[in-house]
Amino acid sequence: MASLTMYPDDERLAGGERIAFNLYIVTAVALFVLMMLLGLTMRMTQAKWLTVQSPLFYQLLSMHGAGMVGTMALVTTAVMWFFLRKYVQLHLWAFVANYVLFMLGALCIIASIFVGRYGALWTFLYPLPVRGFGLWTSNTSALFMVGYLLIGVGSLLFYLDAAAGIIKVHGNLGRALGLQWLFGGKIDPDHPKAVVASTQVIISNSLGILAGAVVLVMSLVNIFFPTVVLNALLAKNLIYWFGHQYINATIYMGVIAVYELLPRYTGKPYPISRPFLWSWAASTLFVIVVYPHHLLMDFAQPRWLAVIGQMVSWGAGFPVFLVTVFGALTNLHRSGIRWTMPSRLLILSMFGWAAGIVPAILDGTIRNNLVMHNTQWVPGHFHFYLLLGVLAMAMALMYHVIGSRVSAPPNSSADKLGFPLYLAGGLIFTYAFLDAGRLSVPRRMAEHLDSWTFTDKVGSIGAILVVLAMLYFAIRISAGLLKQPSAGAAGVSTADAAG
Amino acid sequence: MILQNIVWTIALVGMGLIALGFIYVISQAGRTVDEAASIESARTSGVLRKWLFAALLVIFVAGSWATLRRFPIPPQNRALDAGQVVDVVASQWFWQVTPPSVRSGSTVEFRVTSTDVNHGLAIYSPEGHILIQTQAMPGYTNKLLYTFDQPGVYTLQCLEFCGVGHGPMKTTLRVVAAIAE
Amino acid sequence: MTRLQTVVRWAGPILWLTLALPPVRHALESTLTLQMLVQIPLLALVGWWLRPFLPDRAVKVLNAWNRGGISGLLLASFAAMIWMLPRTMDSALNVPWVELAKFTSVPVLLGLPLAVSWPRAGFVVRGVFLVEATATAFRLGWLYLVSPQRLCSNYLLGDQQLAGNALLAIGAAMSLLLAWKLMWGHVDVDGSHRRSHA
Ligand code: HEM
Ligand SMILES: [Cu+2]
Repeated sequence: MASLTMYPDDERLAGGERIAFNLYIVTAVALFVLMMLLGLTMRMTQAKWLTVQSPLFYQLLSMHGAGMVGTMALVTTAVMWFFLRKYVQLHLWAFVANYVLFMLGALCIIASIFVGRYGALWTFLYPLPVRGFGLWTSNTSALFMVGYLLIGVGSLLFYLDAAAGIIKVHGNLGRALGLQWLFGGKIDPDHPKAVVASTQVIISNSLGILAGAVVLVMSLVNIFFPTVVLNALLAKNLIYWFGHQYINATIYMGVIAVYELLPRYTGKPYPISRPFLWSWAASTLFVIVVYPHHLLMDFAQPRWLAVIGQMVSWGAGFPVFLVTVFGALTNLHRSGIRWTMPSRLLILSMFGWAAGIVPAILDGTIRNNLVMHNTQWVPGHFHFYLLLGVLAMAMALMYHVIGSRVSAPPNSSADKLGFPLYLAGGLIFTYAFLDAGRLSVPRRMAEHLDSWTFTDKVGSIGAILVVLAMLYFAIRISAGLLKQPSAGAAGVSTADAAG
Repeated sequence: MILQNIVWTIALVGMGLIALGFIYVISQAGRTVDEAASIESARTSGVLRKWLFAALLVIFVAGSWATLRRFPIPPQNRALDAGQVVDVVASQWFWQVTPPSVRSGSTVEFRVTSTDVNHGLAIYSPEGHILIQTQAMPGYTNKLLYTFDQPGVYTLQCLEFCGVGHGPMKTTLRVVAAIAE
Repeated sequence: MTRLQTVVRWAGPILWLTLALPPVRHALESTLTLQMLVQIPLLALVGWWLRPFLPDRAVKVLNAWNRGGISGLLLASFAAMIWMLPRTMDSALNVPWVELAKFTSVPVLLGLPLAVSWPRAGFVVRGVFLVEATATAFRLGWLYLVSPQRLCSNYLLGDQQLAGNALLAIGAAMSLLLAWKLMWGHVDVDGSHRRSHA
C-alpha cells in the first residue's frame, strides 16, 4: 500500500536521477506551451481572427498532433518511472535512452514538417504521405516516419527495462497484474498499484509499438519501392491500433500519480482491492481490442469488428467510473483535505477523465458515429480528457515534487489564480469543440464557413486562457524544479499527511 | 430533434451528473469525521458502488440492444435493391457523382470509393447538418443507404483529411420531388 | 568424451555436409518457402552448433567487442536481412559463388554470432531483438503477399504467396508465444546473462 508519507525517502531524486527527471519535465512543459500556441493559432485561424494559408495550417496540425501525443507520452513516462522505481529496479540508462531517442525522433519530425513541409498529420494515413501533390515529398514523409521509429524504440527500451524489473520481483506479468487474485485468495495489501498500472501499459503499448513498427516500415518500403502497393484498410487498422494504444497509455501511466499521491493529500489510506484488480485486468483487454471504434465508418470492415468497437467502448466506462474515479472520490470524501495545487490537480484530473469519457462513448456508438465521426466532437472529447485529465495528472506530480523543495505543498496566490484560469479556459475550449460537433463542423479543416465561426471564436477565447495558465505553470514548475532543495526540506518525511 | 441534439443532450446530462457527484464530494471534503462515521461512510460508499454498477449494467445492456438490434450499417456483400443508385468517386480533390440528382421519398444506394487516398463522404442537409457519412477508400466500395424526405440542394463534403484541398472538396446533390406515379 | 558427446559436437559439421549434398540442396531449394524457412534456418543452426569449435581465446577476444551481445546480434540481424531478400535467394540458385556465400555466411555470420551473443544478452537486448524479429516476420510476409510481380525469377507467384502466409503465421506464433511466456510463464531475468549488475 502506498504510504501516507508526503515525501518518502525512496522517492528522493538524487544525482543523475534528478537531472534526468528535470530534463523530462522541463522539456515537456516547454513543449506543451509551444504546442498550445500552435493550437491556438489554428483555432484562431478557424475563427478567422488570423490568416494562415492552408498548407501551413496542416503543417501546424501535424506538428500539434504528433507533438502533443509525443510530449504526453514523454511526461507520463516520467510519472511511471518516478513511482515504479520504488518497487522494482529500473536502470537510469533506459530512462535516459528513452529521452535521447525521443529528442532525436522529435528533431526528425520537426525537420520534416518545417523544412520538408510534411502535412499528412500525426496519423500518416496511407497513402496520403506519398501523395503530397508537390507540397511535400515522399522523402519528407520518410523522415517523419523515421522520427516515429526512433521514438518507438525509445519507448520499447524503457518498457523492456521496466518489464525486466517487474518480472524479477513478481515472476511474470500476469502475477504483476494480480490475475492470481481475481477469483479469490488473499490479496497482498502491499501489492503496488503502480506495478499493476505499469504492467498494463507495458503489455498494451508493446503490442501497439509492434504494430507501429510493422506499418511504419511497410510505409517506408512503399515510399522507396512504389510498386509495392499496400492495402489501405489494413494499414489503417494497424495505424489506429498503434495510435489508440499509444495515446491511451498516457492515461494509464498518468493515473499512477493519482493512486500514489491522492492518499497522501487526503491523509486516508487507499488500499488495493479485488474490484481494482478486476478493473485493470478488464481495461488491459479493452484497450487492446477497442480500436475498431476508429473505423466504424469503414463499412468494408467485418461487422463483428464494428460491434466490438462499440461494445468495448461502452464497457471501457466501467473500470473508470466504478473503480478509479469512484475510488478517488471515496478517498476524498470527508477526508478533511486542505486544498493545495497537487490535490486540486489530482481531483481535476479525475473529473476530466470521467467526464471526457461520456462524449467519447457516445461517439463510439455506431449510430451516432454516422453523424459525429470526424466532426469537432472528436477533438472535443479527447481534449477534454487529455487537457483536463492527463495533463492535470502529470502536473500534479510536478507540483508535488516542487513542494519537496520548499517544505510545504505549493499553494501561492498565483497558483490559486492559475488553477481556475486553466479550468475555466479548458471547459470553454472543449465545450466549444463539442458544440461545434453538434453543429456538424468538420475537424481537421483550415477553411471554416462563416456560419461555423461562432464556436471557433468561443473556443479561441477559452484557448487563450489555457495558454496563459499553462505559461505560468511552465515557468513556475521549471523554476521550482531547478531550485536546490532547501536544507530542511530534503526528504521531509514528517510533513503533515493532511497537508 | 436531430440526432446531434439528442447526443449533445445526453452528453450534457451525463457530464452534468458526474460534475454533481464531484461537487457533492468536494463540498464534503473539508470535513473530518470520527472513526465510527468513517466506517459508516465506507459502507455507504460500497453500497452506492453496487447500485452504480447495476445502473451502468442496465444502461449497457439496454443501450447495446437498442442501438445494435437493427444494425445501422447496411450489409456490404449483397445486393441492396434500392430504387436508385448513385456512384460516388472521390479523388484529390473533387467528387464524381453519377447521377448528380435523385428523387426524394425512395431509398438511394450510394456506392462510394476513392481513386487515391482516404476520403470521407458526408451528406449535409440544406440546413447544414450531417445526415449520414461513410469513408471513401481506395480499393473498396462502401455502400450507404439513405432516403431523402425533402427535395432541395444537399452538400457532399469530404470528411476525411486528404491533403491541402480537403476543405474545399465538396459538391452538391440535387434532390427533386418524387413524380407522382 | 562419451560417444554421444562426440556426436553432438560434430552435429554442426554433419548437418552442414548433409545440407550441401546435391539432392538435399535441390530438394530444399525447390520452393521459396523451403529455402527461406527450412534451409536457411538449418544453416543458421549449423552455425549455432559450431560454437564448441571456437577456441576459448577467440571467445574471450570476441566478448570484449560484444558487450551484452549487442554487436553479435546486430551482425546476425544484418546477415539475416541479406538472406531474406528475395533477390539474394534467387541468385543463390543461378550463381555458384552466391550459393557458396550462403553456405558459409549463414552459419558463420548468422548462426555462430547468435550462439555467442544470445547467452550474453540481457532481457532488454533480447526483447528488442525478438520484437524486431517478430515485426520483420510480419513485414516480410506482408511484402511477399502484396508484391505485384514475382520477386524471384526461379519461383512461382503461388510459392511466394505461400511463403508470405507462412511468415505471417510465424509472426503470429512468435507473438503469442512471447505474450504467453511473459504473462504466465517463467522468465529468468537475471540468470540469463552474465553481465554483472552495478
Ligand atoms: C490550449 C491548448 C490547446 C489548443 C488551443 C489546441 C488546439 C487544437 C486544435 C485547433 C486542433 C485541431 C482541431 C480540428 O481538427 O479542427 C487540435 C487537435 C489536436 N490536439 Fe490540441 N489543443 C490544445 C491542447 C492539446 C493537448 C494538451 C493535447 C494532448 C496532449 C492536444 C492534442 C491534440 C491532438 C492529438 C489533436 C489531433 C490532431 C489531428 O487531428 O491530427 N491538444 N488541437
Ligand atoms: Cu478530404
